[in-house]
Amino acid sequence: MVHRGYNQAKGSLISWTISAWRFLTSMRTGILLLTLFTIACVMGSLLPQQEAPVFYQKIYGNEIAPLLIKSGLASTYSAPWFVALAMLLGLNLIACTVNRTFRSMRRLCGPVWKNSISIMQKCHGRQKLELQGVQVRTAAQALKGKIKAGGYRVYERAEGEARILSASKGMGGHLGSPIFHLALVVVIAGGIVSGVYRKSAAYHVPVPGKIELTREGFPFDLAVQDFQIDYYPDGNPSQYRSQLTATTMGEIVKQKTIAVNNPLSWQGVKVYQFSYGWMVEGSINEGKEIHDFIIESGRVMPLSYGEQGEQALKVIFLPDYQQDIYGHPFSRSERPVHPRVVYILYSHGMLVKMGEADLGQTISAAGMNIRFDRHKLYTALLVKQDAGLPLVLIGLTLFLTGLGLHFYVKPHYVWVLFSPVEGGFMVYLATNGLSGSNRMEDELMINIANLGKPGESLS
Amino acid sequence: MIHLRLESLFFFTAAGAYFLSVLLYLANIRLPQLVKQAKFFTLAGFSAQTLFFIDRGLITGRMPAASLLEFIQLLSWGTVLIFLIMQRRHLIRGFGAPLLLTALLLMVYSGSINQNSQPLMPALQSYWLKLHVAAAILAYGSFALSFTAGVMLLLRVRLLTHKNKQYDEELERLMNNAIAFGFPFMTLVLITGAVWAEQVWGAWWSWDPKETWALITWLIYAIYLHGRLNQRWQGRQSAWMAVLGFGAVVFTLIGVTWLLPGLHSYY
Repeated sequence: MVHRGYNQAKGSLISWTISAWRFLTSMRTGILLLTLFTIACVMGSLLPQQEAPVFYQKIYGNEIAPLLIKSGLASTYSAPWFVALAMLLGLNLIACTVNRTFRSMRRLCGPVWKNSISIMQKCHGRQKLELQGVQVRTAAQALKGKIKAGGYRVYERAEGEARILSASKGMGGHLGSPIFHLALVVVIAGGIVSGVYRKSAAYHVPVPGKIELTREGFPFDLAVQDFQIDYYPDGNPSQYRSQLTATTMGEIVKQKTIAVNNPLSWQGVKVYQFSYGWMVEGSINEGKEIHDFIIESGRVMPLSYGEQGEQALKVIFLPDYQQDIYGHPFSRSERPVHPRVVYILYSHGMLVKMGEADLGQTISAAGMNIRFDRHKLYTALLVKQDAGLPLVLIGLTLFLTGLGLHFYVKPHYVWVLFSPVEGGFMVYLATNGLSGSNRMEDELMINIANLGKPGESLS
Repeated sequence: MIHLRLESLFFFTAAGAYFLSVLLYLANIRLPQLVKQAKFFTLAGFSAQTLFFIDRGLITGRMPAASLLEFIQLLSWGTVLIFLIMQRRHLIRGFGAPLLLTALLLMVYSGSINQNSQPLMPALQSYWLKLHVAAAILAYGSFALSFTAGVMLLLRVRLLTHKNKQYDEELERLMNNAIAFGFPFMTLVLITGAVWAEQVWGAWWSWDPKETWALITWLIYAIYLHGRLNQRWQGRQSAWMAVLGFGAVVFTLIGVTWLLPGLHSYY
């Protein structure tokens, strides 16, 4: 009794597992998962993502905001339920791919037989004809040659007196679907690897300048020799480029002038031209001490010196200075043809003094003399190492190949059944696949008719 | 100035020809013999619109696809292109009228807003962009066609009362073929977009609203194709999906631009 109970439990566990697996890998579940994934994407795109809790409280109020944050909707694409959904979809995809691959391989490796007249009559295109005065075998051989000449693979089978031909073409089309489903799995895997092992850092480098990337774990150091901006006639930048040299242990390993859309790539690391900006060099004279400074335009620099305690300086560099009709300063273009700076001095977070200055000019504020000497360009570079990228690119290439095969290589079948009747035999012809199969059938029927003395055509 | 006049000439010729085609396709419902004239004016409008883009490209020295309005112009052109291709296999009476009206409205809407042509910002100077836009035109053009067929199916447009079933079947076949044609191009839109983003920003996917909505569009059509192939979705069910899919296309183009700005904010 114990054994029987155990076996029953074991049996039900196995059958439960099988039905669970069937459910998880069925097309119906696939469609359900795709729908849920789509809904999740819609919600993620409509709700602001990765903001501070205060932001959600301001917009959605104190009751809804915690719900959004706790449910993961405030960071949908990294929420555990979203990752789980993506993984389930991946699992479903893998199962579908395996199923499809088996089915496709069967079709690729051998013929697909249509054994009976009734099955052949269910095919898309079908015709029949009675022939007399010729042997079944001879007729089958002759027709086989004709079909082969059309680029088909032809298989022949004899069943008693009857003969069956099964021909197929464009079988590569069956591979399309498994390939692009597999490609999706590769892309998802690449995305996961990319999310886990991706390393990137942004650098603002004065020109000329250096970045010691090896300290950050990258395989080379980088030197920026030059940086240039090309302009459109209206003064807007059309392209900007940095002349880079990558070195390992002091030896030059790669040189390249990079631009937006054209990164440097070496040993799995890519360096992108991301942006550029201005820096202002100058000095602060605080009675006895003189300090040199270099500050990025738009940034706030804390000043550890000064009589009034905690102070900070913000400098905005205007390369092509101009005043608007209200007297507000702005830059007409990105060309440094009329450079000028706007400075703001803070003390304990409060604005103390604000004004404009030419380069070379000294201004006095809060007991200090601040002198702005010269402007300098800096290039903004993004350095990235992404182990998932090759996988993603392989996946995308596979995906296109699969789609191309699936949509543009159409499998086409021809079946011919030679069935003896009194005084001759009937030829049944069926085709499937190509949209132009009628014309093809007609040509074959003419060929069949020419094989012997035709009886009554019943097409 | 000469170029400006030429551009206007092509634009108004195309608009006029499309308008005539709409009228002729409407008349074609009762007068079958008018189909040749309707086709002729569609082709004339399409040629004039093509010349409009060539002229614009020559003036600006770039592909005329650097702003949303330019893209909507191209979308109208793409819709007519797909219609001309599909028309060879599916000749459905009356179908040309709503489709060309849609194309005409898109064209007039984008042409009526005066926009100075802007030079290309560095991020947009890429061959991937050209491929991305070309694929988008073909994909969205096909989806516009399937949308028109879907709406006609849902509204149960009865033009030839004695052949209702046959008419619906033909409409459905057109809807399905247009989606099957557009889907690989939609995939290409996502792929070229990802490769381009990787070249420019160093990230092939960043869940930016525009790219997320392109993915949503792709997912909706993927559900449609699977439902049709394996669950035998037919008739109104698939027509609703075709309408929903094109809703996502419109939201990607217009809704996201105005409501959810991101990396594609210039587009």
